[in-house]
Amino acid sequence: MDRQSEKIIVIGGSAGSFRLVSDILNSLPADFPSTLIICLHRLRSARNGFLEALSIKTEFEVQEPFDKEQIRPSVAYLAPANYHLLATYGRRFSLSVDDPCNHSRPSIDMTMQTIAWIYRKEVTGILLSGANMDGAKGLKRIKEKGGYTITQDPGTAEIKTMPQAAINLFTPDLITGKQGIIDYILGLKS
Amino acid sequence: MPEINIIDVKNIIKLVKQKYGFDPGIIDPASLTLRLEKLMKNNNISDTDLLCQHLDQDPDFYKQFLYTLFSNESELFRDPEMWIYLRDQVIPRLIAEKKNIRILVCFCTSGSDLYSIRMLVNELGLQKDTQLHYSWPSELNHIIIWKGKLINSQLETSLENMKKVIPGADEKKYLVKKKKDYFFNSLFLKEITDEEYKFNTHPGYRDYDLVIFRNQLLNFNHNYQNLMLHNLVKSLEKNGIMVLVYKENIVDYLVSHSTLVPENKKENIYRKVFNG
Repeated sequence: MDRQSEKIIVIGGSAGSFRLVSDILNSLPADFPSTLIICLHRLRSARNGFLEALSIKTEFEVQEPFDKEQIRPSVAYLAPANYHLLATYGRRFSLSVDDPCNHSRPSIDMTMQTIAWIYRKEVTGILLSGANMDGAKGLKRIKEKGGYTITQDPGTAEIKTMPQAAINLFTPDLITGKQGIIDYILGLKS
Repeated sequence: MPEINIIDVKNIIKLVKQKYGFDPGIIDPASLTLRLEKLMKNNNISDTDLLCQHLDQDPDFYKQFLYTLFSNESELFRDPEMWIYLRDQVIPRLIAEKKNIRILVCFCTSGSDLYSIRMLVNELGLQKDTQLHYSWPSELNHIIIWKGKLINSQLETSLENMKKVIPGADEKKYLVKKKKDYFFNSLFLKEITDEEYKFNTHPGYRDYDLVIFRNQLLNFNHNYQNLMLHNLVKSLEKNGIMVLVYKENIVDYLVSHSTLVPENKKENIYRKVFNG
């Protein structure tokens, strides 16, 4: 496995983040070597539709992982509805029905925290628009473990609560708008 | 939030194993670590030395520890499509074949699946034709299941699911409001039998026609998942049905064991084809 394919990008978002996530995925070439892990707040009862909507225009492989599935490069994994998505030892996913965190399941904090444990400095964490404070602590944990942290510029976010909560908690490495986020991700390929 | 490293986790596993004979190492490492952190946060325990001290000296704290490891939160009739399949396909077929069926809800942590199957059986008018049994992982889980208190944040989804799976059912018959909270009506728990889940020995279940075991494999590491599956398959009658959830993956188990065949791939429902 080469160095680039070990990179993990974890993206968290809630209200107002769907279009930006879709734009990120649509910008990726099919051979983009890194793994994307996407944790978005979504309706608990809607199992279908979300993955399909994100997959429409992208060339990149997008899927919802099963419990204990191996984390592979060149795939975007979407946290399933009503489950926490965790990374566990052996570079696998683990799903959980532990109680909601920040009223959310999936919880961005829990995903980012466990990704940080396993991948440490190989992680780039990105926190986008959202209406609650989920994700701020998880993003901070990524930074503490040596990863790189980005928040969407609250001024460009549809709802600024989530990225602002992260900025209030610590100093992310980069605060930028949509194009800055896309440029950074695409830059990882080269 | 408190942070626990892998060395701390190993020490806690060792202590609990020596002191209580239960091996927390069977739990998925990420889940275990998060739950230990939750236990520390909820009890204002600032470091793992203190956590170990509590575990070593306080058997009541150990009960809370076990409960924290297995406290899941779910709603009634989670994944309604699966329950509709049970209602329309599985239960009528089992009843036609056997007249009287034995149902096991294995490793019951919140009670939501137990209450759901109890309501479904009742709505189908089959309460006299079914024997319902469940196993629970810790004393606190058992108490919570018997209290029947439903989680307020899950109530709306539970009611929506009930309308889909048991349309026309009188929800007030099953759900009793006390002050601001809703409880599962304890009258419907009376004829259900139960036992503690045995982690270290074969549970000894047998002759079940339907095993409901949903969202529990997730808690465990791969090896213990396979052991649990092996024991549950043993507990099934020929043509018996085992129900998992759509996100649980037992491909490895299926490759090495030919006793289970998919009954409904989308909902992760399996049928036992011969007695192994």
